[in-house]
Amino acid sequence: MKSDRDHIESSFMSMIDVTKDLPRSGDGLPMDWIDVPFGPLFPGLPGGLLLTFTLDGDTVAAANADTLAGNTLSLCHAISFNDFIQRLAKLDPLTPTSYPLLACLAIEDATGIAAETSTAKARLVALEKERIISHLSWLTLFAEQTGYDWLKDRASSLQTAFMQANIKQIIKLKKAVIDLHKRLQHTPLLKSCTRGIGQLLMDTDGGASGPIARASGIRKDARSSNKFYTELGFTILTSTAGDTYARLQLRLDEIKQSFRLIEKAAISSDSLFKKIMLVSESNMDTNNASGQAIIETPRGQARLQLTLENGQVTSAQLETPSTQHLTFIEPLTDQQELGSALLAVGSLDLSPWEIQQ
Amino acid sequence: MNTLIILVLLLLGAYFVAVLENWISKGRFQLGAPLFAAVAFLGRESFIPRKPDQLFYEVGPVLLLLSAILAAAVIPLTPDLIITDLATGALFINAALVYVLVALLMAGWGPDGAYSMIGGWRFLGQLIAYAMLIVMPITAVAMRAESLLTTQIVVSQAELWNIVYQPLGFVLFFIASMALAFLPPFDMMIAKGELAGGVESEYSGMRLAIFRLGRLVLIITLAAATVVFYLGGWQGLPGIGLPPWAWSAIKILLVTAAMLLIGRYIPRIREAHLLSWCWIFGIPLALLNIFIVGVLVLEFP
Repeated sequence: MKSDRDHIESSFMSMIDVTKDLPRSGDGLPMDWIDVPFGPLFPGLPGGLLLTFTLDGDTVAAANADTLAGNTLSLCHAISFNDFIQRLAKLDPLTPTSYPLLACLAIEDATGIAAETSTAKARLVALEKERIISHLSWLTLFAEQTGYDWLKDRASSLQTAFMQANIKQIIKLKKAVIDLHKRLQHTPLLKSCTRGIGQLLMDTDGGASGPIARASGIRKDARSSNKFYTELGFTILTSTAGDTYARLQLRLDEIKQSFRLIEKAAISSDSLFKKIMLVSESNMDTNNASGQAIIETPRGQARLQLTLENGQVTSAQLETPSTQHLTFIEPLTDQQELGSALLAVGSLDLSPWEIQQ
Repeated sequence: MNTLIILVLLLLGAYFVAVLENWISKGRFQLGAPLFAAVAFLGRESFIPRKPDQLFYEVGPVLLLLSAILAAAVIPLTPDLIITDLATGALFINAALVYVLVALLMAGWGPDGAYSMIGGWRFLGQLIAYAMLIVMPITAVAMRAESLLTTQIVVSQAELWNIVYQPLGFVLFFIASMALAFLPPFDMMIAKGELAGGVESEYSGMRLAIFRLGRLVLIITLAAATVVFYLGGWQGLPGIGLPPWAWSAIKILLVTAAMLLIGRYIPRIREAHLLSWCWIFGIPLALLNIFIVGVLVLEFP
């Protein structure tokens, strides 16, 4: 009997021996760890995001995130107001309105002029239109990740419709937006496949802003301090669950809210849109001033500080929401199953172009 | 002769499934789309991973196609149009379809790629979820027919189709069939948004064409099995004088369309949820179905 056992043991490849030096993850099962890239071009994640997971089986043991298309807003030499605005317009193709508008506001702050009411309202409408488009774009990616084909088609076609729409056409899309919202409230499996995933519970914002912070119950929204928003009855929408489902619901609610704000702003003409990115040329000769502005982009708060000398912008510092939100990837994905981890990353709605390098 | 006819019909069926899938996903009815796609597949260069397990890599897609064809061998399209009417036909379908798992594990492991390997293992988890829900409803169907002959199962539904006699079994079998054919929302192992194609991700050209063909034949085989087990096979509705093969064809296409449509309107189910729901709810319901059918068979033989 003993000789039989000896024979077996001498030729048997013990799993304990094979795995004894392997690292252990949360479930205690020793497995080979592999580094797997998810990006820069991965379906369901924004293009340009360099995400690498160290996988233990299909559990994420470590995560590393960076961007292929980040921005550096360093000015080598002084540039004119309008060149600076144009430069910020090209900063993030996913938010072509927010950043040039932020530049306008910061320049206006430095020069001490305020935009006319009609211009301010037109800016509000443009910003809310961009929020709707951005949230619909996120919904398309979310649908791609979750394999929800109907939503992918619907959200992308609505996004295209909004991008091409003028004010009158936007109003006509109201029913489609409400129908989409209702449909998603009653979709089977949607809640179960997103609830509890990527949960971010916070007492303080911890650098988070936008839908990420508000879905975790943080009442933080730069729009609340804007008098034009207050006049239109703007209130901060929040949720408390802090998970992917809460972020989904919050973005859907924000689409509806943005729609209401556009309706109430009652802009009658699209010609106003042409003027919103212009600053008064009468103040071009402003000497040595500094200004700052905060704007609520679809992804969260962006802050710009700049210095003007002889009517030109000489230095600028920009803070963007995606730069902050990138740091949440590691805690959100740690020890999560791969599908959940990717859904959590997707729910952050990162823009790789926004991330500062 | 029957073998040849059924193989041709399977290919034709797979072609129509591809047309339907294209129509549902792109919103355009294009009768020639699968043909153009096939030509494109064959014309493309086949990329081979750097360090594949050559045997597993090459055999995986072929085995998927063969297992689907093997299962179709015992499915009758008319009383006489069947490759072989095995005495254990109903169980043979299940046995043949087990090789789908083997094929997908081989296709997942073979390329030595992370996405495909995870996809292969995901399907193993999926099998643990759906396997009992394939076998147990078949058991109830065989109880009513008092036979495992698939032709006898169709004959046993002459007065009342099993979809009415045992609706619970139909629902369970239909869902499990979708999971077996890795159709949405059970497509975790080829999820584009999670695994960039998963098991399919390292295949291209001819090999990918065979893999896709295998999946289409698998879908049509499972739809045909659903028709045989629950929708009266070749038997038609009273008052409509269509030949038996036409009834089989219509029913199979309708079941296929339903399988393809449902997944479009719901998000992908999570692996852990599928496992827990199948074991917590599915298996007790399948047992209940067997019990109900047992009582019905005793009371209304």
